[in-house]
Amino acid sequence: MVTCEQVRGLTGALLEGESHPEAYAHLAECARCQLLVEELGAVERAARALPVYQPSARLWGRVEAAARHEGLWGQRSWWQDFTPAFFPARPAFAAVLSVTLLVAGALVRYPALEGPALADTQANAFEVAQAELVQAPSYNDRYQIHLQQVEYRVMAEETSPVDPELREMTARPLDAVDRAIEQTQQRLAAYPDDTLARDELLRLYRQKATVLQAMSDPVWLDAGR
Amino acid sequence: MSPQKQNPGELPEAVAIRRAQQGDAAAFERLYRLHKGRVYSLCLRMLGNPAEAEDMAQEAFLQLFRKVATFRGESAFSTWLHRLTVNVVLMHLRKKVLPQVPLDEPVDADEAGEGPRWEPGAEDLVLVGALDRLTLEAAIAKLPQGYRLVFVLHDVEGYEHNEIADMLGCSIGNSKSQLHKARLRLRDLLRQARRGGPGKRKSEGQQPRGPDLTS
Repeated sequence: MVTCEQVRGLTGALLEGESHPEAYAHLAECARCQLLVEELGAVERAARALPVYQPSARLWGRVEAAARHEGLWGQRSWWQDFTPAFFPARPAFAAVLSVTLLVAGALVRYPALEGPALADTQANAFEVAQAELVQAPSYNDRYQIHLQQVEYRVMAEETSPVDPELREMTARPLDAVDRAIEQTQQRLAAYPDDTLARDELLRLYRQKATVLQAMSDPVWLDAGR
Repeated sequence: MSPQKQNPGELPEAVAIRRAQQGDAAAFERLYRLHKGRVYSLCLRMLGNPAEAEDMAQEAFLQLFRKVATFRGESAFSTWLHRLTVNVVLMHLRKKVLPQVPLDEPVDADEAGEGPRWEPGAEDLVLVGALDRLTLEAAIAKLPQGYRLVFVLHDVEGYEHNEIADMLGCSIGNSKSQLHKARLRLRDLLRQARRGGPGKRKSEGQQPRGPDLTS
């Protein structure tokens, strides 16, 4: 037979539902211990049923002011503005960025582009660009001149006497990609939530960037001349 | 901890969390509206002071806004926020002062093993029916801080002893012991309140923000 003191040490366990047959036997015979367990149980039950209180209405104002003061919100980055609601514009943005970077990269990688390989029809413009490059050595100016050269190259490509067969071979995949892009855009217009179509559109833009990069490759251009 | 009910047209919690992680101020406000009651009540019961509880609720929400990007959904959001709030309050208490009564406070005669105090004239808490919640709130506020923290975390908020031990940096046995002592102390305070003694509550007619736990 356990003592009152031993049962007191077991009240927590009893309230948590642990089985202690010897304690139950004691409680059946000891009114004091039985009352203790019941009262502590009442306290526990009442604690679990305590209500939820609301803070004062001004608390949100304080929280908001402190959050703004700390800059926790209201400073969204430009990239966060490209939310799903604007998603249809993202592939186009990615494609333009990809093409720009790839072509610029190609120019940096193949300095021969800046040389005499350009078509005669653009020679004067290129000479002007080169002269500007020498006169304006800042990085920004040089970058602008590089971009100009990209434009000149595209123009030169359009007017240069490239082998018609080669031109057709390259134009074919580009046309195919453009057709696929158009079809995917139509699909997205009809079903804006079609995530597969969105992914496909992004993939197609990347593919187009790859084709354009291939077309601006000096090896290919030289081969066409 | 379950948030308040959602009305039709309001942002679902999961969406609000995702948008808050992107810095959306409206989503932050939605999360605040959903959880302000539980966060404030937790602070109030841990601290026993409405003004201090609002300060800590504010700090808890600011901490939420700072850290919401790290929430990965490994637990319920309310559980995560609750734990964050507990940590904010405990940090505050550690900075403030040492506990008024250490965790190993000497127990009084009743708690020392002389057996339950038998008072034939005292009202029976069980037989008189459900406990008055305001009286209970006031009694909780009167507990020594060490007892109050363990009692609120375990009996009110439902944390397990191992979680409490982790939060408070004590052993599981210590948490169990503190809880037992807290319950015994509460029982005494409630009995005193019923007799109109020093534990009698003075919080009649309190506003919805909660009872005056400091009385």
